[in-house]
Amino acid sequence: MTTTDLAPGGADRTPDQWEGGDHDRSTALPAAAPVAPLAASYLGALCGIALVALGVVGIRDGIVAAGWINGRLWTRMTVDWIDGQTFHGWMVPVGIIAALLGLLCVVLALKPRRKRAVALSARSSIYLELSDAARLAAAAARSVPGVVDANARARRRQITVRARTTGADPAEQRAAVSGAVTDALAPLTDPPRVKVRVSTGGRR
Amino acid sequence: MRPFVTGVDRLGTLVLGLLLLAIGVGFLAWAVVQIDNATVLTAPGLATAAGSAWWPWATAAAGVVFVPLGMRWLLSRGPAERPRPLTLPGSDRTGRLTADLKSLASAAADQLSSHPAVRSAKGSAIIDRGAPSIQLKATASSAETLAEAVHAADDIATTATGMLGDAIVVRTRLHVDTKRRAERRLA
Repeated sequence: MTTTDLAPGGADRTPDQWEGGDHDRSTALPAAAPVAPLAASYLGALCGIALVALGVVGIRDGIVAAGWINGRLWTRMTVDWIDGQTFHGWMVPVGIIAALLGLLCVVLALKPRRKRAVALSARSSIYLELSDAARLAAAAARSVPGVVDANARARRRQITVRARTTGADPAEQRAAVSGAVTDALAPLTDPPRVKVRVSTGGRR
Repeated sequence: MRPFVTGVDRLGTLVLGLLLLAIGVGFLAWAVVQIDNATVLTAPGLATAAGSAWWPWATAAAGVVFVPLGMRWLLSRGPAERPRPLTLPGSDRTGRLTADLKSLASAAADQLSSHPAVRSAKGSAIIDRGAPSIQLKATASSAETLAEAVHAADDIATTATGMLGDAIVVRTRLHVDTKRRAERRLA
């Protein structure tokens, strides 16, 4: 059986082979949107470490029972400590902290991964990071005459632009900034709502 | 990260959360119901078991299971899984045609970065949520050339997909260099 590698040095491919040729097609299969790292994965790593630590304690007790090392059984001491335990004042703050941490863990375990990019209008799956969408919006706002400085914060459904202007006509400048940002974000498949906040003042 | 690993992480976090919640609520309920310190927590079954001769051997056996399981859990979160060479249609008993996705991703990135609207591009091949995929990361030269960069990336992605059929997906993450303005040529 012989094996033929396609494009082992793919860079040598001629432009014609990349730019269409017989293989071209009108659309590409959709790819999943980029998502933020899973918050639960950090706690998952912690659980893995805890599992290893528990295992080490169990093995250590087995070694103690075999007489290879001296000492008391830690697991037996823990059970003895639990059995016969009475209420103590420290249990209230510890209980509150444990309940809150537990609630946080449950929320993180069930929380879906946050999408951190927005799709661009294209035949294939092309995404623009939310931070880039914000930069794009801020750059568009800064290009408007009368805008001294601008920054933007992007979410998937809304972009908030804060612009400092020379103070000519706030309503007019808000409309101009909004128009410029909307135009800049036009390549997005589902452009987010643009919210503009204008403040006057040349320098802070 | 593989879907199975994320699932295990979620499950582990959920179990940890429920355990902490149970301990916390238990302590608080104890504080509310019995503030006079008269209630004593007892676990006679557990205490009897812990006093038995077989207890340390049982904990050791559990430890022998827990340690490799925990290590496997920790080591499973390495870098993204790399796809194997993709077998192409036309392969039969006489020979096998394969495509090296890493090379293809690299070639696609090279081609994309040669476009005037794109400042730089990198390509990689990974298994993303169970599917072999080519990931392209490109930076558009400026905000003004974003549409052109999208068009270029689109052409590259559709051509790459056209070469390999429906077995792979191509995802492009586009960044924009907003510090540069597009060069304006007069002639």
